[in-house]
Amino acid sequence: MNCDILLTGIGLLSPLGGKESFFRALGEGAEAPCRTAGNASLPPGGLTELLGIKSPKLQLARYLDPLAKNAIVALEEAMGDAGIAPQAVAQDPYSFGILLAATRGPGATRDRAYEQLRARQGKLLSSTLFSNFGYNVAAATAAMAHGIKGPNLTVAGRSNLSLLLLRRARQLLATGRAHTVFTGFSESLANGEAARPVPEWSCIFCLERAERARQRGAGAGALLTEIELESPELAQPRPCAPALRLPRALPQPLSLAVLAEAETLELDLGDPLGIGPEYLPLLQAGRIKATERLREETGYVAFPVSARHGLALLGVAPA
Amino acid sequence: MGEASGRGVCLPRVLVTGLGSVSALGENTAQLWDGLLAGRSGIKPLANFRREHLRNVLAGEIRLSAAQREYAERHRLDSRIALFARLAIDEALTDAGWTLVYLQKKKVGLVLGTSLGMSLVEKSIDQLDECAGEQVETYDDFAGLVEELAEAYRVSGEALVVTTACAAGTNAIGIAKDMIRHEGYEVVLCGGVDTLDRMKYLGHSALNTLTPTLIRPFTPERDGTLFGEGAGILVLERESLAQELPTYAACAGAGYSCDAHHITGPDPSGAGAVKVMGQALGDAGIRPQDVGHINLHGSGTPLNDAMEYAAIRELFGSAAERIPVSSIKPAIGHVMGAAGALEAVATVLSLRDQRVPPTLNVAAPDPELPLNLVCGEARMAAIEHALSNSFGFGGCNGSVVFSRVNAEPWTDL
Repeated sequence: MNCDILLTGIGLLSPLGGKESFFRALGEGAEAPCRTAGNASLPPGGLTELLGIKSPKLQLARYLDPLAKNAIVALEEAMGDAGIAPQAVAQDPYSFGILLAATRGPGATRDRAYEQLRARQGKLLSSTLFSNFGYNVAAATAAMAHGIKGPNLTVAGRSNLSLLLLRRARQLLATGRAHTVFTGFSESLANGEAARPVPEWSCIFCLERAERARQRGAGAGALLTEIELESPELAQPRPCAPALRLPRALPQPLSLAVLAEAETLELDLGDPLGIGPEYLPLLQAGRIKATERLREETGYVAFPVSARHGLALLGVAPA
Repeated sequence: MGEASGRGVCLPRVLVTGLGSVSALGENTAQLWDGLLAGRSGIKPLANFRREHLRNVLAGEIRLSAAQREYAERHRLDSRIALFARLAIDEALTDAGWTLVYLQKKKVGLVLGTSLGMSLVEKSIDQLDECAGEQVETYDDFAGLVEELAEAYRVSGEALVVTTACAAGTNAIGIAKDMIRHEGYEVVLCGGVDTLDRMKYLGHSALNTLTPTLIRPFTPERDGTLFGEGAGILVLERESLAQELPTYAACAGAGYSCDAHHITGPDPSGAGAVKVMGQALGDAGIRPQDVGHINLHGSGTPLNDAMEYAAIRELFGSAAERIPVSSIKPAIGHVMGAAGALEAVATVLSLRDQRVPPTLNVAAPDPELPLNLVCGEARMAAIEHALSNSFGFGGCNGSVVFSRVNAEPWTDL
């Protein structure tokens, strides 16, 4: 399956702000606000309100689950970052696809529905809330908001889900099922009100077939070539050379020392560069060639910053 | 033998070598298929959760047998969804002649579809009422589910759950096929699994998607659907691996599209459905006139059946009135995320036996939707290629094409 794929845009919505604010805060060692039983500063589903985002696309329906709101905004940003105008999607809607990960689905809507059901003595469940129960609600609503009619998939997987997503997006692109795929996460781990106080995140990458990106004059982004996702025994006989070249325009160059301090950050599922811990030994042993290629071609290196909740965060810094 | 793609590249063929199922018609695939061909219905009054305030108390519910409960205990399974998935996977692997010792030496993947799974209730085998207390965690962790299954079957490659509502099972099969055809996988276990619970029935009661009577697809009286539960699993293999073994069919093509129209309703024009069926046929390298049978989504809701008819008419033209079509939902219920998988099992068996099961509860098809709907009793048909459709909430569409192993792909090269 040979096909060069370019990363041409990123959209990010996090408790630390958008893409620029996130990377800045990462460098400054800022802590993400976290919803807990005693801290309502980040109410469930309140990220767009907290960040003061008022996109007209959010008026799509009377009720939108927070996952859907965040995905709509992040996808809009990824499209803008990639220089893809809404008219381009409207002209060829089936060539654009969406592939999102959602491991726990719209927990805030479920919580709200249960609350309402209890208030109604178990007699009636709101049809509006029930309509938003689907794990695919973020991808489906984002497709409606942006008129994207190509493949629309939502998946959940093991701790290597980030790489798995890139691989599945690559499959859609390389097999010609779409020329552009918006892929990433929209997650909110609310479940049982105070049981799991994890904030919301949405991060969406715009991946394009290289020839399509060049044809429309998009700037050179990261190049995604091969990703191996197997047990080490099976990977042995084959070259293990995932090459993930990171973006052309990293916000502010961050020093290695500053990034190293970021180990205390409350970063979790949904972080944009999270990979499974099983890949850390490969990275540390230099078997993931991305770091070398990255150094040569962009002057940046990627390295593990922290591993929490079964996921690892890759940091980026000047070589 | 590989398949010629449009780019002239020889790609490996993907064969179906094993089937497994658990449904309201029985504990295995033989019971499902016998029941479908005989025109039996697995729809019965709900017994696993309270019936008050529901629009209909009928469903394609599974009453666990002593053997199924013993299996759950032996394997220490504490969720109904994992139980169904494992029963069906075990059957499919045995059917395909795989033991775990040999399987783990291959490059194996796992792709399962589900809609809401058990995300609205607590993790259990059969406590399926809503969680009455506050701050109760429901079993919403699909990553945990797929991890559990991947470990049980020692899956060395990717393991993922596809959650595209009622198109999930079909989409899972499409992804699995592409993993073998394009990514070097040797075996992929794929299909779908889903469970019933009171929250889903309350929700569909509120939405009026539940019929107050029975599912009557493509009839003038159609007024909604009934739901079911279970699992359908296919073992897909690279042809070079399967060549010494008996096979059911080739998994020849798949398509995906999105209506981008409404969160629960289909696009009445059927444009997304036309696209997804056309894509699946193109992927299989066949023309509309080569299709000998369509296993319909056929959910029996007024909007969905009208949309599916419009799409079939648009793509197949006058051939739409010739191709034998059928819906198995009246027999087992709409199994949501597993519907496409169980329907794929039925489609593969239609190819093998050259027989199309009847659509139950249909006295006379709707003259406004003139299709060659098989009803009354099973019908013999010459089928070289068959199509199975799924259309889900959120406008997610999926189609998959199965072909007889010796069928010749059409090509204009």
